Formats: sequence, structure tokens, C-alpha cells
Amino acid sequence: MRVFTWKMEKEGARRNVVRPADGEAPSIECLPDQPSNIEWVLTAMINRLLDDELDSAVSIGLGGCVSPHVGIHRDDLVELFRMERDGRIYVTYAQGQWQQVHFIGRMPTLDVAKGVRARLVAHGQALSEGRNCSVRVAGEEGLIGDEVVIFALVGSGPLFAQEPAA
Amino acid sequence: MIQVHWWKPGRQEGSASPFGRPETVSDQLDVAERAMRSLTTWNSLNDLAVYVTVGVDPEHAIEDAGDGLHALARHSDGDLVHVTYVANPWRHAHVLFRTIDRVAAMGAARYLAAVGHEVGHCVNDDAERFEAEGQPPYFVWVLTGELPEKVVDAVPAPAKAPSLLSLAAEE
Repeated sequence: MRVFTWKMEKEGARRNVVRPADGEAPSIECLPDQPSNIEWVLTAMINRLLDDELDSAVSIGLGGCVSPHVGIHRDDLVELFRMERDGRIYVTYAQGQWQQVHFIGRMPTLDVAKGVRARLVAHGQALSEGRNCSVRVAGEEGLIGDEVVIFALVGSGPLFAQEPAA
Repeated sequence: MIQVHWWKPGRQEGSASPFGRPETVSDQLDVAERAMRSLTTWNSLNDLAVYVTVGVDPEHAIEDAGDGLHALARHSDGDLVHVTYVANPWRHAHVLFRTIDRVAAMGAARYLAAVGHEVGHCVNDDAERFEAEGQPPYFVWVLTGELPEKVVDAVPAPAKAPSLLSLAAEE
């Protein structure tokens, strides 16, 4: 899986590639106060998917500490987050045939992060409405520790074909 | 290195012995339960933990459990999967139950885990479903060994017996 981080800039956002084999957790930028800036990231991501004209999906979620092994496959799972506490190791994986993970930014609190995630999902759904791209929430649990990071899983191709409307 | 013990029915009704072979492990749940109670009690008294597993290839799985991280709980959450691991703490494996019935194997694993929770330091997730994959026969086995002290802390401490001094004071 390809791993990306994002850096906010005055007039948009810039994408950085992370090499999964580095063995170090990528640094994730704190997001700016203005939520509209965060939507630049998703807009850029979805526009690129729509340009490709392939069936695609974006799954937006919240996580804790990004794993030093992020992007590494284990069976049918891809590692995203990892944290050790009290002798136990908590790992969150992505399941499914996702091709990219984008770490959009770090949030100050879980409540703020949930609000931003809801806003991003709504924004993404509005952008992709009537197109061959679906936008959804990745999962509801798995946050451990003090850090809250917003991420998006991206996949495209026949596996992500939209189900026909009933 | 994890030592493997294959349990077989004992000479007395309802008893079992940890000196069998894979093919001598029985499908008698009451015998497996007695063994489980005995194992869990002994290990809990020594602040050790037990962990119940179901599958088709205990020897291979037990060998794997000796390396790296051991999954304690797994939870599916939309496009995500959350897994809790502990670094391998296991020293012994006890194979208690053998059957060709997949559903029976899963039920036995759930039952034995419930017994483990009732008796002592069983670290399986309460909601674990014990899915068995592959071709029969299916086995249920119990790993025992040292776990991080926090696992022990999570279990209510047994009540201490009152001292003679306090009894005297109550009178």
C-alpha cells in the first residue's frame, strides 16, 4: 500500500510520499484551525480519482499513533496504527484491497476530530455525488492514547464498483 | 519453547491425564472441563494465565505462538480491524478436546473459556467467537504461561481471610 502525508500550505495542500520500509512512523502535521483548509486535501484526492474515471472509494477514519510499520501487509491486512501500553500492543489494520492511505493531519481532541471527519465525509460525498466514487466512514473504534489522526483509505478499480441503486 | 501436553481420558470416569497423543484426545466435554478447571486453578494460584484456542493444527499453531506477538483479541470495525497483541508469554499448551464437528469444537472452546473466566486468569476476550477454519478434526487447546502483570491486576483479587486480631475486635 502506498502511504502519503499532507502538508497544508497557504493556497492549498501538498502531498508527500512515505516509504513503508523506513521503520519510522511518519510525522503528521497538525491541522490548521480553519476546517475549510482541510477540505483542500480531500478535494484534491477526490478530483484525482474522478479524473481517472475508474470506480473508486474513499474511506475516512480516525486513528491514534501511526505505526512505524505503516503500509506493511500482514496476511490480508495492512498496518496503520500501533501503540504499546501495559505490556499489550494495540494494532489497527485496514482490511480490503485499498491501494493508498493518506494521513491528512493531527487533531487536538477526539471531539474536534469527529466533527472534522463528519465534515470531510459530507464534503466528499457532495463532491462525488452521481459519480463513480463513494465516500464513507472507515470505522468507529480503535482510538487509543492521546493522539488523534485523520486518515483516508483510497482504492480504485473494478473491486470498488458502485452497487447499482435499488 | 512451548511444551505440548495431549490430554486423554483417565482411568477413572471423568478424569484426564496430560500424557496422551493427538489421536487419544477425547471428545468428552465433561472430561475437558475437569481438565480445564484443574489447569486454570493451578495456574491462577500461581499468577499465571490461560488462553483457549480452537483450530485444526495445534502443533503448528502452538509452535507459531512461541514466536513474536500473540493475538489476544481481534475486532472488525468497518474497513478496519483492531487486534490486541501480547508478546509471547506462553510456556505450556494443553490439548483438551478433539472432534470432527466444527460447531461442537467452537462451542467447546467457548464453554472452556467461560470455565476459565469463572475459575481464574483466562485472558480470552469475553465476546470471542472462536471461529474454526479448515478440515477436521478440530482441536481445542489451552495455552498457559506468564502474562504481563496487568492481566493479573485485571482479575479481582481474592478476599483475604480475616486475622484473629480483627475477629477479636469485632467481638
